[in-house]
Amino acid sequence: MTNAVEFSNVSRHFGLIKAVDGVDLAIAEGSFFAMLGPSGSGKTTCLRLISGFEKPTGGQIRIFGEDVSNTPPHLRNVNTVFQDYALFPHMNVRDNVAYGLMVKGMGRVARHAKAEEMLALVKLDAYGDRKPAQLSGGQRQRVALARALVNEPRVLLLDEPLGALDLKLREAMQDELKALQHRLGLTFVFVTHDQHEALSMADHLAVFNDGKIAQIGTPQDIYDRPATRFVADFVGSSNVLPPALTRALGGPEAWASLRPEATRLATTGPVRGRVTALRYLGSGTRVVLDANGTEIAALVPSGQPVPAEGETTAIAFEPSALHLMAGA
Amino acid sequence: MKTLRLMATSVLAIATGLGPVLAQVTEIGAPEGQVNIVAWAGYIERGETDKAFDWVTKFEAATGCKVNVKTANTSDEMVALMNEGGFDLVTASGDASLRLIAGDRVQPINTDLIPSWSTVDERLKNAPWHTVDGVHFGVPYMWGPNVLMYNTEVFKEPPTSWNVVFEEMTLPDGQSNKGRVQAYDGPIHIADAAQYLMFHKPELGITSPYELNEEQYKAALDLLRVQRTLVSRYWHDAFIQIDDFKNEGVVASGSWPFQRNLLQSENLPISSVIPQEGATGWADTTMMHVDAANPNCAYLWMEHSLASNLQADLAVWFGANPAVPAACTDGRGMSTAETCAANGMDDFEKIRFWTTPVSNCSQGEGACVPYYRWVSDYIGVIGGR
Amino acid sequence: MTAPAILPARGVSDRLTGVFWRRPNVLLALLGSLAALLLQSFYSIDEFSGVVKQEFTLKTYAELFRPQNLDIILRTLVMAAVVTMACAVLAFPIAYFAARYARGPWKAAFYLGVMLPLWSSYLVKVYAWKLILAKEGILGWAADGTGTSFIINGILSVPGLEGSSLSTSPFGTFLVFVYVWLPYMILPMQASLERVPTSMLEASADLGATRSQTFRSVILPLALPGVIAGSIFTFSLTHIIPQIVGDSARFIGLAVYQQQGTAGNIPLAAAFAVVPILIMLVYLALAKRAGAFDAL
Repeated sequence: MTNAVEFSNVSRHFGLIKAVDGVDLAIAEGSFFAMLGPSGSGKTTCLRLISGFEKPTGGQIRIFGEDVSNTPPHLRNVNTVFQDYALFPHMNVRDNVAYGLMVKGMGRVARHAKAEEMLALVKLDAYGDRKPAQLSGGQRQRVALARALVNEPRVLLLDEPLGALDLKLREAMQDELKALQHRLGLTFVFVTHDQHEALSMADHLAVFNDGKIAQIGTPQDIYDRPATRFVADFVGSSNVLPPALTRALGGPEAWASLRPEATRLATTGPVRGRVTALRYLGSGTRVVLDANGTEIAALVPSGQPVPAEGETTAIAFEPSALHLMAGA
Repeated sequence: MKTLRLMATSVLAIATGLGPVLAQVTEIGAPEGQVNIVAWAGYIERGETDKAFDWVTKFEAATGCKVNVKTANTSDEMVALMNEGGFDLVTASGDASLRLIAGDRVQPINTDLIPSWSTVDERLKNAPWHTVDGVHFGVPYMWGPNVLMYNTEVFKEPPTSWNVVFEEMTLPDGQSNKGRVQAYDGPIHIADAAQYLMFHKPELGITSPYELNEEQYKAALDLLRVQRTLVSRYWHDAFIQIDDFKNEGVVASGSWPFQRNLLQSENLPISSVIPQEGATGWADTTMMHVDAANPNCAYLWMEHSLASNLQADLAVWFGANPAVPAACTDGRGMSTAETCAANGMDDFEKIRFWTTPVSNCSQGEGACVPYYRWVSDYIGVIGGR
Repeated sequence: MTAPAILPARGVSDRLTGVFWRRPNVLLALLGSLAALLLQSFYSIDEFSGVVKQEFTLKTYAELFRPQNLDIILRTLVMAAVVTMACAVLAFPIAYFAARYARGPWKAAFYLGVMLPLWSSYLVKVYAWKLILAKEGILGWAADGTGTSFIINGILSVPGLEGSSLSTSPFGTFLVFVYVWLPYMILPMQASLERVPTSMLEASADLGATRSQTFRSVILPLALPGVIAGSIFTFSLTHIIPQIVGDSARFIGLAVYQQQGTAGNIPLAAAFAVVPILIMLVYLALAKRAGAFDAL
C-alpha cells in the first residue's frame, strides 16, 4: 500500500533558521494523523509543505507516490482547513463552499448542488444564503470543512482545527471530525499543540521538537513509551527520572519515565519523600512527592486513603513500569 | 440689489427735498488709541514686506492710534466684513462702495475735518461711487486703469487697439495671436468687450459698458466667444499672470500696472498702454463704518491718507494713481511725474471705472442685463458656449 | 487567533455611527447645514432685482439644465470619472505592494512617500505643476531635448484637450488632479488590502485558483470598498486646480464659489452643490448594488 504522504529527509530552512530539518515521515492512507509539538517546533511548516505553501529546501515530498516537491498548491489533490477558517467574507456560505468548483469552471447549478450536498454533510443545509459573519465559530468551522472537502481531496489538512472553539464545542467537534473521517475514509492530517487533542483523535502522531520528529507512533506508544525526555515532558503527565535516580531504583544509569497511574503509595518503597501537593482529579488524587529534589507524582485511585500535605510517604511500582528513554 | 434700495431712498429724498439725514462727526476729539481697517492686500504697508514702503509707523507715532488691518480679497468679502461690524474704515472699490452706502453700513464724511480734502483730485472729489446727492461717503484713496500689457519684443510699436486680444490676427512677429493672449477671468471683463464695441460698433448705441441692454449684451458675448478661441487660459491672480508672461509665451493681455511693474523690475521686455478704445479701471475710497468705535483715529487716518507719503509711495508700490495729484510731483514720497504718467495718471478720461451692473439703468427700468447674468454667461463663454 | 479574520474590525462608517449615537448634536449640526443648503436651492433669484426670493420653486434646478451649466456638470463628471479611474489604476499596484510585500524600512518609505506630498502646501504643489507643464517649463524643455515634443503636441491636438501647452490644456488639469488625489486613493486601498489575511489568498490557491483567479475573485472584491472610499475623495474635485492649470473652463466647485461669492446667486450655488451630493448617492447606491460593500 502506498502511503498518502511521504517525507524523505525533508528540510525547510529560512536563512539560518531550520524550521524543518531532515524529516522522514510516512502517513498511511486512511489514517488520522496528528502533528504535535510546541509552537516553533516545525509542525505547521510540515503541514504547509504538504499543502504546497512552502517548498522544501531539501529532500523529497511524495503524495500517493507522486513527487510534489515543486508542485504549486492549486495543482495538489490536497485541501486545507485553515486555523482562522479563511472564509471569503464577500461570498455567502454556498459560494464559499462552491469556490473550489467555480475556479475549476463548473457551472453554477451543478456547483451549487454539490455545495448543498457538502453543507448537508456538515449539517448546515439551511445556511447556504448566509454570510460567514452571520455564523457562529463552530458553524464557520463546518463551512471551512465543507469547502475543503468539496474538491474531494485525498488528503485533508487541518491547521489547529479546534483552536478557536470553546471547550464544550471543541469536544463535540472532536467526535464529529473523527466520525467524518471514518465515514469518508480520507487521510486527515492535523496540526495541534494540544496533547490531549492529539492523543484522543489521532490514530498515529508525530511529536515535533526543534524542526525534527522526536517520536512517531500510536498514541499508546507515545504515551506509554516516550522515546525522549522531551516527549515524556510534552506529551504526558509522566514522571521523568534522572539517570541517578533510575540507577538508585535498580535500572541502568539512564533517563526514564514512570507513569503516575503505574505507581501506588506504600509504607516502604524505593522512593520516599514529603508530600508537597495534592490534586483531586475525580477518578483519583494526584500526589506529588519531593524525593531528594526530584518531583515524582503518583495517582491514588478513588476510595483509597490519601496522605496529608507535609507527610512523608513512599512510592512502589512494578520494575517493568520503568521506561528507559534515549537522549539527555 | 442694494442699489435698488438706494435709488428708492434717493427718489424719496429728492421728492421731499431733503438730503439724507444721517449723523455726522462735527469735531475731532481725543484719539482712541487704535483704528481698525479692512483693506486690499498691499494697501496698508508698515515696512514689513519691504522696508522702503511704510506709511503707518509715523502715523502711529504721531497720533497714538495703532493701525489694525484686516485684508480682504474680494469686494464681497469687504461688504461681508463691514456688515459684521467691528471695523472703522474700509478701502472699498466702486462695486462695493454703493452697496455699503445703500446698506447704511457707512456714514457721511465731514470734509471740513479733513484739511487735505482740498488737495484731492478734482476728478475724484464728487465721483458717483462715493458721493450720493452731494453727500460724501468717503475719501478717495487710489485708482488705476486696466491696461493692455504687451511684450516689447513682439510689439516693437505699442499696440494701438484692444483688437489684439479680441480678434484673431497676425502679430508683428508674424505669428498668430492664437494661444498667446489672455483675458481677465471675471465677469466684469464683459465690460471690456462692451467698451471695445462702443468704439468699433457705434450703431449698437452703447453709452456705458456697465449698462447693456439685451442686444448690446449679446454683441459683447459674441465678441468674447471669439476671444475664447484665442485665449488658452484666463487670468484671475496677478502672480499667475506674471508667470504666464514668463513661461507660457503669453505676449498681450489686459492687466494692471502692478504686474507690469513687477515684470519690468525683472528686466523683462514688458510694457503697457491704454489703447484708443480707452480702458476700464478701478477707484477705491476710504469709507467709515456707521458704528465706527474709533471715529477720531479714523478721521486722523483719512487725513493721513491724503497728506502723508502714503499717496506717493503706495502709487509706486501698487502701480496705481494717487488721489492727490500733488503727490506725483512734490517729493513727499517716491512718485514722480514719470511714474505717475506710467501708471496712467493722465488717462483718467479714458477710463470707465468698475461699477456693478444692475437691471434698472439709464436705459430704463429693467432695461439692462444685471450682474448675476454676467456671471453665469461669462462662465458659459469660458466653458466654450 | 482571538478575532477571526472573517469578522474584521468594523470600518469608519461604524465608528462614525458611534459618534453620532453618543453625540447626536454632531449629526444635527451636519444635517442642519445640509438642510439649509437644500432649502436654499429651492429658492430662486429675482431676475429683475437680483434679490433672493424665499419661496419654494424648482426654477433654480431648471437653471442647472441651461447649456452652460450642464456643461459644467458634465465636464466635472467626466473629469472626476477619468481621474478616479486613473488614480485607481495607478494606486492599485502601489497599494498592493505596500500591503503585501513592504516590510520594515520599506513600509516606512512607502508611508513617507505617499504622505510627504500631503504635508506640503497644496497651492505650492499646484504652482509647481504649472511650472513643470508650462510651454517653457521642464517638461517642454525635456521633450525638446529628447525629440519627443511630438507626444505633447499629439496630446494637445486631441479634440477637447487643446491648449497652447500642457499647462493650459484640460489634460494638464487631469494630470494635476491625478497627482493631488493619488495619495487619497492609495491609502484607503492599501488599508483594505492589508485587511485581507494571507490565509484567504492561500485558501483560494489551495482550492485550485490560479493567481489571476484569486485576484479577480478574492483580492479585488475585498479591496473594492477601499477603491470606492478612495474614489469618493477623488470625486470631490476642488476648485483651485482648474484655476491655475487648465483652460479656465469651470468645474462645479468653482461654479459654486463664483455663483455664491461673486454673483450673490446663492440658490444656484446651492443647487450646484447638491449635484455632486446626488452623484455620490447614485454612485454609492450603484456600487452597493454591484456588491462593492459585501466585504465590509
